[in-house]
Amino acid sequence: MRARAVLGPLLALAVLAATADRADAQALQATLDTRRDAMPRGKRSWQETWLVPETGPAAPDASQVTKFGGRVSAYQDGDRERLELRAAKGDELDDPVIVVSDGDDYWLVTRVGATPLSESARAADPWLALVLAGPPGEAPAHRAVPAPGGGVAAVVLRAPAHADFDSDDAFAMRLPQGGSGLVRGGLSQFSPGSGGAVTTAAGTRGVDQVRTANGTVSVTPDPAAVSWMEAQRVSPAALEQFRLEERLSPYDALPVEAGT
Amino acid sequence: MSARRILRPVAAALLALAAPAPAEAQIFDRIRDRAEQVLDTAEKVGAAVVPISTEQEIEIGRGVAATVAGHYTLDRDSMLTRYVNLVGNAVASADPRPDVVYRFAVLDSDEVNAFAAPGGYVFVTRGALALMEDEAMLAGVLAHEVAHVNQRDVIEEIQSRARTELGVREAAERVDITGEAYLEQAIGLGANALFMGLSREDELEADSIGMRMATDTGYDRSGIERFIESLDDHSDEESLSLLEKTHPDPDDRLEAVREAMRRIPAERAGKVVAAERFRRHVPTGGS
Repeated sequence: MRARAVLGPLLALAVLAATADRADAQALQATLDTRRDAMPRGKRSWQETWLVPETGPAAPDASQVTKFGGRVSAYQDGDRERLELRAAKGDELDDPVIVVSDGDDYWLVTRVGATPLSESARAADPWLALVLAGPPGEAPAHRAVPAPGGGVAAVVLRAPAHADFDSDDAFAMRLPQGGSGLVRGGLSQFSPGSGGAVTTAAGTRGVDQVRTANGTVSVTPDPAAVSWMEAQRVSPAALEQFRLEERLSPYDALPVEAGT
Repeated sequence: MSARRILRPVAAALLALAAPAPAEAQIFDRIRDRAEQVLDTAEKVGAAVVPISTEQEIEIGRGVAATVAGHYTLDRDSMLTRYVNLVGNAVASADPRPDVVYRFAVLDSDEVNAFAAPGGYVFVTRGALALMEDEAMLAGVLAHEVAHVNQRDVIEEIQSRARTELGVREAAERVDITGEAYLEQAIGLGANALFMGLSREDELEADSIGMRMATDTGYDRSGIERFIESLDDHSDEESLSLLEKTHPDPDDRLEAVREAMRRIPAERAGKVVAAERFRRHVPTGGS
């Protein structure tokens, strides 16, 4: 009797969870099918900056959606597509979520391989769902994304990027082992020379004599200055705020009345 | 495939065909030994011009940066350095090298100059900041330096000078690019390249690429143009003597920059000048 009392609700929850998972997967699959069909052919790349409300899932209007929420880099060639999503996490950017379409299906790509996206744990990721529901081809430089329950969920600023990427790398179904993952401009884990921010463990050496256009001079190298310089890093969040203040790209696409 | 792998079987076949008599065998042996030495040297010199990896570039860059900071003095004003880093990283993100972290710093010197060491270590002097009136000018100068990093101009100069200055034999002996001797040599050549000047083509190209990067970031495209004009205006001053010796004539630079400006469609031209923000962070600017 007691066991039935405990197991009954648990079973019901499990059935509910499975139903919800199936619903998420079905909804995502429908989104992916629509996206695949709507994607224009051709080689292109673009980057989206996502702004989100300061608090909560929606704001009453777009002018109140000014907090940096993350960045999406897209690479498309023919019927294939790669999306790199990096959400803001404090002052930094979170590890990238990488989605690749081979023209038929969308896959979540990790260092251990690829999983069908609709069957992965990311199927229920609300930001990923909004990104995938966005326009896969031409889009305005500035658009507001309506929240499912009303209001504005996000403001998206899209800017074109260089399309000279290597398609073999972009649409590979496995990330290379090692390296520190994406750091800056996207596709960096495929860059030559190990990818990511390479830092060397070796000591900073200098030379004690240099030839200048004004003659040879003696120098006392200053390795401590280099260490100090390396410690002055600015965070991604600080850089976004700095751009936003003066409406540097991509914030030049914001309407004039949008708050800063 | 290496030269040795191609040539060794050919040499062996020729020697076998010659079928020397015993007295001639020693001569053939010596010829073969000499050929081996030549192949060794050719292989090492070939390796000496193989592209330097990002890790090696950064290690060389740190050494060059330590030398630049030792030649001048690093300005440890954290707020000013943060500002310069924000402007520099903003322009660098217009066309980033994803394998490099860009770092920017100010040199406490009245000399007017800016330097880009390999691996993303960029310096601008207080003397150069004093000539600037707004952030667009600073963005133009930093973007010029970022272009040198992205084009690997100093690394290519190191490789070129290694060949011409060290000569074939010495370059071959120093071909172990992980070794201390080579690293020190590469740092020395890199520092020399910065202080002696890069090629005229590299400088004009960095002006054009940098101007595009600054514009793509949203800055007014006239930033680097106005900075070069101000160099021209102060050309008789001692503080510009090194810069004048290491860069093309300002008139030539202006011509190249204006040509590149004409190629930017009006709708893509940035508009941000940010004079007020610049003055807030660089009160000595525009002097």
